[in-house]
Amino acid sequence: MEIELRHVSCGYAGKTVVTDVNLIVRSGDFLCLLGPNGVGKTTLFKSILGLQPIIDGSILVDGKTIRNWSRRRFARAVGYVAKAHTPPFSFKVIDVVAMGRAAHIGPFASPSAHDMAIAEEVLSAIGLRHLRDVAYTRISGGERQLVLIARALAQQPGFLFMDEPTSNLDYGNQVRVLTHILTLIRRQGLGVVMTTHNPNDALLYASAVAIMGPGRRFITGSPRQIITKDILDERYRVSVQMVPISEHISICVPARDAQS
Amino acid sequence: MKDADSVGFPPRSSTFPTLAAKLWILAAAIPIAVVLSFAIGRIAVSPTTAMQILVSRIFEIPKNWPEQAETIVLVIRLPRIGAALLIGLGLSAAGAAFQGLFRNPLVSPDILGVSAGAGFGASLGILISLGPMGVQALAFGCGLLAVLSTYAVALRFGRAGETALILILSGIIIGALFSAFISAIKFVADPDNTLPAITYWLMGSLSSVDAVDVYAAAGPILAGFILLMSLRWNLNIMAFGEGEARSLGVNTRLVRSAIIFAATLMTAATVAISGVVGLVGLVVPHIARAYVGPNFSALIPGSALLGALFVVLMDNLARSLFSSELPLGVLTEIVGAPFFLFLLSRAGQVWA
Repeated sequence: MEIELRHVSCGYAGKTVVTDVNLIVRSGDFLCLLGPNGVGKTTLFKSILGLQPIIDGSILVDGKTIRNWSRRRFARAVGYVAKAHTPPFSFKVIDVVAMGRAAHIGPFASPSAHDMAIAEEVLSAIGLRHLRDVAYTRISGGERQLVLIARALAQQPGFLFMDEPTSNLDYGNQVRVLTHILTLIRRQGLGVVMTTHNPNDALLYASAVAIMGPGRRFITGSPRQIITKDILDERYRVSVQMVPISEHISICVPARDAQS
Repeated sequence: MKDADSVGFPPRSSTFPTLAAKLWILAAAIPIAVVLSFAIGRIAVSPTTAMQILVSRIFEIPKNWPEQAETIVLVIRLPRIGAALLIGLGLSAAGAAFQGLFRNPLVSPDILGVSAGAGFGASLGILISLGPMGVQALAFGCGLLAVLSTYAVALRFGRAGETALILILSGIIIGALFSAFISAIKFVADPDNTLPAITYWLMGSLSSVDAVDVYAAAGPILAGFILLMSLRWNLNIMAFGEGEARSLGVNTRLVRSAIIFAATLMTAATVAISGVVGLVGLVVPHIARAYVGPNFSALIPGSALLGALFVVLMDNLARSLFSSELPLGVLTEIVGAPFFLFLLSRAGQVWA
């Protein structure tokens, strides 16, 4: 599968936040989207997901425009993993995962035994079987994020869009969530687009990187092309240095002179 | 705190009784309550006699009870019990649905102005001396009109993603407007005649319910209930918020308007025959949630059954506590308020 953005501009009524984004994501890709706060990463996500209209340009799935697609049809192609938050009611974990089946179930129906079986399966696959009957509101932030990923997997989409899935997690949970994402890409051939504030996520895990703003062109490329001292310094207005950790991989840290 | 903004007691991990069994227990309690209700009232009729009278309507059985008992059971108590069941079912299922839709456990079925609208319709009907049927029809119509106005205002001014909040705010305004209309009507009403009738009507009572009322209300209440039952699983998803529901593939506009339509139909029909029976739609879903858990697949039928049971029992109290009857709405609020405070104290940290 392939999802393509052609000259997409988006924003709110009367104010364009993001202009002329061109992007192609294929099955098996892991794209990290970076950019400082306020450059419109979330706006771009919402527009791609159809939660707000795009101002200009078009979004295509396998070459076909999605403009007139129903929510159901789009949700079967693209899943969304929101930032983990607590709903006002303490649903059981399995019930939350089963909600991922909505795109396959009519508005006036309930999940069938088949739908519940899929929910059980993805819950086991993500390693949270033991939390099946626990209230979603009582589990940790990392577990909640994994439950939301399981829910998106129950949706059985070709692509997953994740909005800062690691931002509220402790270090261990960050690593666990990212490792899970990698496994999903390798095993199921999902295409994943993820926003992150940590350039090292992109260097260590991603197959491609896009960086946005502020006030500059939207550029894409391989992690090593994009996550460079020059680009990071310019986009984030800080001074970083790249530290090689092996022959092929470097990570970025704040520059020594900036730390004193 | 992990569950800082969550409400409700998580279902216990024990699997017995199962959810289905819990619903059956509720369903089984209703016939028992109904049989007892036939016996309760100013004039004693034994439950056995009451059952015999009911059975005699269908099968020929030897008649060994006074004529008066038959009148009491068939003309007075049967419609009352029927109305109490319908009202409890309607208000509680509608309340549970709105709490999910608006993602707020403090929402009641009249949040969009249906009660104020129906109250206005009834007051107007009494003012212009319509018959009982006319008053009910006008109450039902104005209840729907109020919610339609709320919906129209919200559509006109709401922005994508904020629909629930705008709906609640519009509902408060429209409700206040119709309440002002009610006051205006009371102000011009004849203080010897129509004003007491209006005031009494607004308190919520089943004392003048007859069989025709029950038939008239049963249609919309049961239709709304069937619609809610079919939407109940989608309510779980709506409780996660509009954006998430849409990204999961739910047609939120369709689901939201269908839920509002169903709940409004039920509440308007309820208010039309009984007046405002307060707090039922707020308190019963909470008790049901503590019993069957927050999943709306079980919560909608659970609330409906528990609500039917609750109002039947409350109406028994209303007509037997004192020598003269207490309006049902007054009683449900007097009983409901401390109960709700008790729930608040148990859920304590949840609302902190």
